Amino acid sequence: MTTLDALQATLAAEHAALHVVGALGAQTSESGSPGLYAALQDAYVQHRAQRDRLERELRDRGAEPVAAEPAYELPDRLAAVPAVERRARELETDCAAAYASLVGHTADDLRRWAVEVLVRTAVRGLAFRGTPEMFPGVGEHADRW
Amino acid sequence: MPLLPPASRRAVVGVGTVTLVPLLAGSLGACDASDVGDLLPRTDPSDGSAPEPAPDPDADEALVEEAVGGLAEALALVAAVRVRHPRLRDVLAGLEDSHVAHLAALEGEQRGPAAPPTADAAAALALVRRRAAATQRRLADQAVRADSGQLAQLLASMAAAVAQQLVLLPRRPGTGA
Repeated sequence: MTTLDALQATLAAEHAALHVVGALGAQTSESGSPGLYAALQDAYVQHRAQRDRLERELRDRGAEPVAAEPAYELPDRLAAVPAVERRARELETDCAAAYASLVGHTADDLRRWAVEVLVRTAVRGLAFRGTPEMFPGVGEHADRW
Repeated sequence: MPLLPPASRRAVVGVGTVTLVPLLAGSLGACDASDVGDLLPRTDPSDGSAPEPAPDPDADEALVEEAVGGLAEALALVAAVRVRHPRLRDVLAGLEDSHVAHLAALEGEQRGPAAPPTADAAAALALVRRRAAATQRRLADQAVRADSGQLAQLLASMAAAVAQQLVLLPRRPGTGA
């Protein structure tokens, strides 16, 4: 995998995250679930900034950023808090894996940014009732324990 | 980490992935075809298709030693505080498990518990928090400095894991995070 491949794969994960988190946030009640609502709002802002950075990195390298898919999988019952939390957790897990891969295929400032985002993503997953992991983003390692 | 031979310090730089272990141990004999592909210098079209240099095992070995030292020190403190302050035992269990797992992944050896610096549980907890935060920052920095991409991934993942534990640690004994 090249740096460009890793950037494109990470951007694809961010497109999914941005789309789904936006949909989840739109269906979550600010008064009924204030904590979840705030976590989704924060996640949306972060994912949007990360998507923009990835697109810039790709364009700076002369590559055309991969486009978002027309649709992404959403929970059947968007109003159900556990379903929303579960889907949000899945997204953060996917993003953590993408950024862990990006760490391994970049260097210097871009790698530093990828490390920072991996850390933020792992922490944000806890806001959606995630549990701490021994090796966030590097799932196969955890399987060895 | 049972898949790695305990004597191969350099294999630690392969960080639990069979692909890099033979390269860093200086032998390609155990690789199958797919492994060899991973060992070849990577090509990055984004910078003119110049092949990237192979990871420097000596530099990464020193980096692993550095990471092991920091983790062993942090673990010794957490272990000592858990022994000295029973009321902190449960809240520090996750952090201790995390340090143990990370140290084992790098084939580092645990030290005996450090002498607790204080009988004050609140001060001991604050010290653990500061040490864990410093460990987290160091692991992130070491991830950036790693020559091997796979070692970088592992160190970055460890930094993320410690950050998760920090978020869950209470600020004061007997309170929530």
